[in-house]
Amino acid sequence: MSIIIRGARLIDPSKQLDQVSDIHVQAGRIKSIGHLADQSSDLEIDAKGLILSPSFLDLHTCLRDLNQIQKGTIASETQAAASAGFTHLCPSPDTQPCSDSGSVISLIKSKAAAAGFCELLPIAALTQDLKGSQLSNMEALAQAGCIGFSNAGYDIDNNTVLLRCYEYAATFGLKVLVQAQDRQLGDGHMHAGATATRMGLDGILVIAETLSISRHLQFMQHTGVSGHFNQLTSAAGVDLIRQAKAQGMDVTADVGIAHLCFTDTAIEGYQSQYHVQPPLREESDRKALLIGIEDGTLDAICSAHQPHESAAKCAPFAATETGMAMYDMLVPLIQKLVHAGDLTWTAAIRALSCNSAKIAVGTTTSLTIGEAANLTLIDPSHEWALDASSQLSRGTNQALAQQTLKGRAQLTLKDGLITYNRQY
Amino acid sequence: MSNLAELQLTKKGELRHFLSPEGLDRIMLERILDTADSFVVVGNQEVKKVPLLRGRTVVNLFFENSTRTRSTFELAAQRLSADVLTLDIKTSAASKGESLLDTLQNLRAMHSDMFIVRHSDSGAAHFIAEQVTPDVAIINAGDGHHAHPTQAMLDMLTIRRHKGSFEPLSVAIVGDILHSRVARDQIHALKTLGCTDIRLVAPHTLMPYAIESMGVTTHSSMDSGINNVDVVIMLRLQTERMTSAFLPSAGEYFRLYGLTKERLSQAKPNAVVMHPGPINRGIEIESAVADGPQSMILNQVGYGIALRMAVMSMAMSGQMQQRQTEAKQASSLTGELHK
Amino acid sequence: MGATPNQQHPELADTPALVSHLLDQINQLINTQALDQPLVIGIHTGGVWLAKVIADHLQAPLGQLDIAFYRDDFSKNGLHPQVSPSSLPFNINDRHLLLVDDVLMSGRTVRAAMNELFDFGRPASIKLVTLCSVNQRELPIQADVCALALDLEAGQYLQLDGPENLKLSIIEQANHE
Repeated sequence: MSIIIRGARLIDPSKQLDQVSDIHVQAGRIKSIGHLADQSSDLEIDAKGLILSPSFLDLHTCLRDLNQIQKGTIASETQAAASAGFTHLCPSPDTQPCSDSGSVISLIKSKAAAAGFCELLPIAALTQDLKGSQLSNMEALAQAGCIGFSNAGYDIDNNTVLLRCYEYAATFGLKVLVQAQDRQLGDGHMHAGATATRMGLDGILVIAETLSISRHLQFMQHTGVSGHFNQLTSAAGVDLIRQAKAQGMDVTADVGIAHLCFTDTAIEGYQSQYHVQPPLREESDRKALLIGIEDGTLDAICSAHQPHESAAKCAPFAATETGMAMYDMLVPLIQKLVHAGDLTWTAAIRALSCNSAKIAVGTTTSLTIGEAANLTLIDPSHEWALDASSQLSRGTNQALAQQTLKGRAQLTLKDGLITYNRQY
Repeated sequence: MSNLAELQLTKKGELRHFLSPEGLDRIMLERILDTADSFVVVGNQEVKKVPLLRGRTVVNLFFENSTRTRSTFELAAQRLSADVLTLDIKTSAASKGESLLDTLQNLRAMHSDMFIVRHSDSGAAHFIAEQVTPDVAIINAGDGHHAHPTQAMLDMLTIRRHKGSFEPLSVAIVGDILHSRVARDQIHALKTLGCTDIRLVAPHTLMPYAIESMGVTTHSSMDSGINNVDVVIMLRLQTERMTSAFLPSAGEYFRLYGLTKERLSQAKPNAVVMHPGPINRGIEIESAVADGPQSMILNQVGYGIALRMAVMSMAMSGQMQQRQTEAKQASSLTGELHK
Repeated sequence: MGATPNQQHPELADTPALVSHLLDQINQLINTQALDQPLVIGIHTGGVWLAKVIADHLQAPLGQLDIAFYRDDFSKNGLHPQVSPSSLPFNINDRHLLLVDDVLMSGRTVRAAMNELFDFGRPASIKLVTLCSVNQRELPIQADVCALALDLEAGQYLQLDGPENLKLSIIEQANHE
């Protein structure tokens, strides 16, 4: 099916393009861009007031399935991702069972292909079963389609083992992704600050993150591995990345959308919906993360989507499982940041699409004639209510449930095929 | 999402859960203390029982061991003529969350009127009051490191009965503030009741981060901490602090932070000494002080029963009034349907 | 335009006379019933003032009761925080008690007082002494000695002012405590 989208605001950060134009998709590719009044297609969309950009790629997400179907399935969660404008996802290796074998990787990839919403570019476990003691079959996993290796939220204690992981990855030119938080200092449930103290909850200091970042930067530098830091949370952490880049290091970093929008005060009243790892920190940290996106220190924004069943969040705070279901509210949250002047759409799209693609597959996304049509069409002023009937993720841990939200994707195309269509 | 004021009070401003003094205004805290005063009188009479809670069922839900606290609550409930049921529930770390939910759902069938809850997770009492059983009065007997409101309020009662008003007082709280659920509530209560000089004394390893934001000053030494204070509250030091890298030894702790007669002389001459108990003689406090003329430690126990009788009767009354209001609203709605 | 409630009941104006009449009636009761060494117990607040007058007159021991913890309206009105101490400086077992209140109306206060008394012991007898009785009983309780009985309209209540110069008056209130 060929599609013409007329009158949308085309934003392509890779070309500094931001202008109202038509775009024609045919045979899975972008056929033409410009004033296309004379062209016609099977489907014509009036996109006045809407934003059209290259589709999004998620560097960190949890699709559950396998032994966790009560939390979500690849079908339900990739559909939710498509409804937030994503066409490519990098699921984190902390699946159950762990993504440390070719068979698990093949399984999740084929499930996603069968569902047909998003393509998976999995991240495999750096150590077997994420236990931090034995190397995983990195080369074989890379062959199976993994774009990088991570130990998820389980920082490796033993420096010798960590050195071996980096050396082995360097052997084959593989990328290592790090969720930087010291294992022992990270033994808490929220940011260590005034709120945690008042609520009597064990806190996690900023130095848990910075110590880990410094350690991993040194390993990356020593072994020459191309490294990426997942989910920065603190101003001090952003500073370390900035310094490393200034020194010419080949390192990249992302931040979870939640950390750009919420702080530790959201937990007041023991709101377990905001119980996340790594933790939400203070307003000064949030502001520093936003500056990091604007000035390019932080390359990408990830969803850190972690759907849960209701029992997982229905307990005293420390006993609840961590993570937020992010896909259904991602676009509204971006819109809110843009509206507050904290972010521009261009910066957001660069972070969600161009840069995350560069990190995952080495090439940026763009709106280029002849390229595969992976596109997202967003209506920034669409108002809608997030509730059980409108959400697509299976996760009940929706922090903004029962609220009226503004901003929603209307159409997502992958290789010219519609993977999400809200109204056409 | 309800804040502590909304959660603990009925729409008419009566107490219906007692989770923490945080969120309650000065008038309410003083009402609690006034009510407790009248129960102190009852406690001194020959017949120590009153029929206020007759026919009501009070369930002690202790997910964490505490013979002392539990038995004072039992005694308080019995003196109010309530039927008391004690459930000691040990939960394994793995099944914490589910057990709590299931346990409480099962208890609902027994139509209890009040739960006294002690749990090792901060926010447990809040969770129960907000999400599980809003129509059962919840009295927080201690949750994690967060709150122990009845202990804090009986401490306030002790101070008021022996020192009068709170405004001119200097109060020092000494010891393991980091792990203390009482300290946080003491700070909330003292501030609300008008105290402006609250000092916390502890080594950095036992001092919570950013606690100055609660309106207190922090001190690493006893000398500056208890200099010229009117009230010294000593907190219990658990032996595991010495084996889990918070402190080197009991001896060093006593040398630097123990309350000896000599140290006490740095406080005002008529300063009172308090301790939530049980005391560790020779670790946080010396016997001569614990048994000495300035010690209020035994008085605190008696006041504890009266204070608990006060909050239990107030919360029970608030819940019952709330039920009546809701029943009236329900019947007026159905009345309208029949019109 | 009618007279004020107090104008409608001029007999209230001379409260000392009523008290004097009450004391005469008490003397008579003690003699006819052979009440040996009675104890006088007043119900807080008005009953206590009156009981003091009676105790002084009889040269008898005096006690007082605050019935706050024995009321039957706890679930409706909650607990009044200012509770004055009940104080019975004697053993009531096998003794004759004169239970004194200023006004007997529904009977609930006296019911609560008796419940409280029985928590202290088992008296030989209790005689109810009240200055005034308003005919609006909700319980089967009557005074043994009463100086004045009268009818009031809805919303009207009798109040005794004291502790010195005892004076009865009628007040109108939507919600009487």
